[in-house]
Amino acid sequence: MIYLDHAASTPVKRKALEVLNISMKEDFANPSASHKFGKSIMKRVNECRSGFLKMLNVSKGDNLVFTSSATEANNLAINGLDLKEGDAVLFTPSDHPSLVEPVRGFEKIGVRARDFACRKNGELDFNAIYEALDENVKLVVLAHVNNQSGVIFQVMEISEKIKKKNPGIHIHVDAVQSFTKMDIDLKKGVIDTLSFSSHKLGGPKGIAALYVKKGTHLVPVFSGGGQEGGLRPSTLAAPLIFSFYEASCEGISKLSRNLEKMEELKERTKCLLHEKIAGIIFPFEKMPTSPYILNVIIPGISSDILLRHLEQKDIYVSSTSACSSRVKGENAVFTALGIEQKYHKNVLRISFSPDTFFEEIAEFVRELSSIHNDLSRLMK
Amino acid sequence: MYHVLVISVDELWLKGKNRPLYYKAMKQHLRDVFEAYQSEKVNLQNEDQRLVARSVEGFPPETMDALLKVPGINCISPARSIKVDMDLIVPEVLKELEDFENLPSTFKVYTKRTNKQFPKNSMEVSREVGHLVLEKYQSTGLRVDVHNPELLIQIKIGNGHIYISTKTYPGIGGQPFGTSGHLVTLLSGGFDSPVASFLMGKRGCRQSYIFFYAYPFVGEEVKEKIVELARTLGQYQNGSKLYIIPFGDFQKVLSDKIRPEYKTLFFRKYMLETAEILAGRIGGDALLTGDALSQVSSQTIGNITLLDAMMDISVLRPLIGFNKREILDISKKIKTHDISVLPHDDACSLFAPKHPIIKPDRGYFKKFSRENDFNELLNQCIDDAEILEIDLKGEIV
Repeated sequence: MIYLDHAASTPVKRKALEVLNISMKEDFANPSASHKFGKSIMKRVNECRSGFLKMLNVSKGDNLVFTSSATEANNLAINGLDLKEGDAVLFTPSDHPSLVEPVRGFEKIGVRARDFACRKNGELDFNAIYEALDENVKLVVLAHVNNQSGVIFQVMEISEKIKKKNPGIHIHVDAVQSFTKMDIDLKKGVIDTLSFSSHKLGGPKGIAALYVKKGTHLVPVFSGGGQEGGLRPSTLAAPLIFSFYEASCEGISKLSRNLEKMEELKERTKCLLHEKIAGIIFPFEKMPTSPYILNVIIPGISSDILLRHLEQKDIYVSSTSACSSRVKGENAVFTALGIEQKYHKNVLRISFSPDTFFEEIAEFVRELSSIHNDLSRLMK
Repeated sequence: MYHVLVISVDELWLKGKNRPLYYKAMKQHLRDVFEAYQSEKVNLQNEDQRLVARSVEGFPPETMDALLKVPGINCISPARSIKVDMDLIVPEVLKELEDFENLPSTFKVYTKRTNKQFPKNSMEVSREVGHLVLEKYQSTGLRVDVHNPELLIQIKIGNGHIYISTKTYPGIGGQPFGTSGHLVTLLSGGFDSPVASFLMGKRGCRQSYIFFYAYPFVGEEVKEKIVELARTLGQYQNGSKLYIIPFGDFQKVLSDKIRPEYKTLFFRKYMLETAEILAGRIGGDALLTGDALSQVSSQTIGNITLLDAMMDISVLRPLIGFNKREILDISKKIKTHDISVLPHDDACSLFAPKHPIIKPDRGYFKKFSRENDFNELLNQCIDDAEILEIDLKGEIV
């Protein structure tokens, strides 16, 4: 199997799996129990919490809440703000549905959801944000790395400027595609909430986290037993948290080395694709993009068809983000990313992991090229 | 809830000596519906050219819906059943009217008397019952309208029972299931083929559905859509099967050998040929397609006659003279419209040549067909088919 869809989900790392196996077997007590057994598990959960906060380089007093997914974390951060009629939210329509949909949901109660469209090639329009900042804007929602295009948004720089203009604005950042892959430093305190997910970085599915800056008031989405300071009541999934933490530690420790490796891998992949697939387009090549994600447009052939031909060879890539892959025709995300509509059905996302070998890429390109030749002939 | 249904059968009066056979088929289908939907055994009997079903637990709306999809039924009247006694009629009619939340403003009594021993004739019964109903409901403003009544009170006086009903539900009519042979129905994801299937189901044809699944050129969602369509159509049948034929690889092989402008025509030819092979294997009498003349380029008179000339089996095309609007209307009625309307990739359109052939070169077509024997490949496609069995509830068995 050649798996090149790591931005959708990636295999659990060996060590993280070991931690999960052991913990699933041994740490069965409820971490909120009053007895010693439960308390010892809660202590380790809190150690992980501190460890995560350290990875984000934040000061004491800030909080980190465990959730079941980044979708939940994004919902908690956005819906938890308790916005009122007349308030406004700035967001990017090209972002993941778990950011866009909760923001749009606000419109029902009279909150204005204002999108700042991207310029061509997925570039975020900074000026559009600054111009849109008025006293009504209470929340700005940003993704560090766009999950489809891989385009990097300079969230620290943007946030600093926003806070300078209006310190009262809440800034939420989705770091799902960047945590443990790129540097994230929250020391300056300009970001109020930040989400990241375990299964994108080699941990198990079903666990994610939301960083919450000290002094941030959020209203919980669920009501229940009061866990996580009441912000996310439900039994803490200790084994998942331990495994998530293990995978994150491994990612952080190899961050720079992996970044370098991935940049080289992505460059080599591009060269090879350019050489073997006539007419291929790299829609975001002029933008700073994550080295973990590469988008290509293969004009004339539907990416769904390519995807299915590749899957027959046990090769897996993505045609659109898995969460919206059933959408046909015009793709709102691609429109927002500045991709011409005629190419919306021709976008393939290839995403790597540090464990991807160049030999796999070479094999993938060989198969893609052969399928491409075949289909080009058939569809004449 | 009604405990008695009077079921009128359609067209069986046409059948002469074969009538018992048709009744038998109809009763079997009805019994199967009752078995599937009712928790107790339903009594079903012939009475004066009608079928009467009696249930202690009553017939819920789900049973009614299923019955109204049984081919060969003209209409169903939920009824009150009483002994053959004039004195019992009016009290029972009044009970029936009590069940109305809002009584209509006009009515008419219609009596049919097959029991000639009954002391009063139909007119007399209607007049008497009508008079007493009027008397009772005078204050509500209810009046008689013999031409266009909002409420029709029907009284059927038979030899064993009198039936009183105020509602009649039209069935789909036609002939009982399985009395008009076995068809292999070519299903696509569009509007037409499901409607064609319904029309022939109504004519009593048992059907096996065949779908040409062009994976990897089309995705799983097309297959899901076809399964949904077959499950909807299966409710008009009494047990059917869906054969999902993997066809993408064959289409690829074929595309490499033919002139591009002939692709669609040849795809159709070999789909029909595969369906013919399947019919041979499962005892199908004819093929069924949703073709409507000239709707698309492959459905021109030239292409249709050319294709038919190559076939040893009949191809039924009940929609041949239908306009699209007429097809859509039926598809809405039979609830396939909302499934067909879902967008899907269509392999034919993916492969579609820029200028498909409208007036084919018969010489080339026949020569290619003669010189290229795909029989083995097509048989292999059928061998590799996924087969789903569908019961009369439309569920996969």
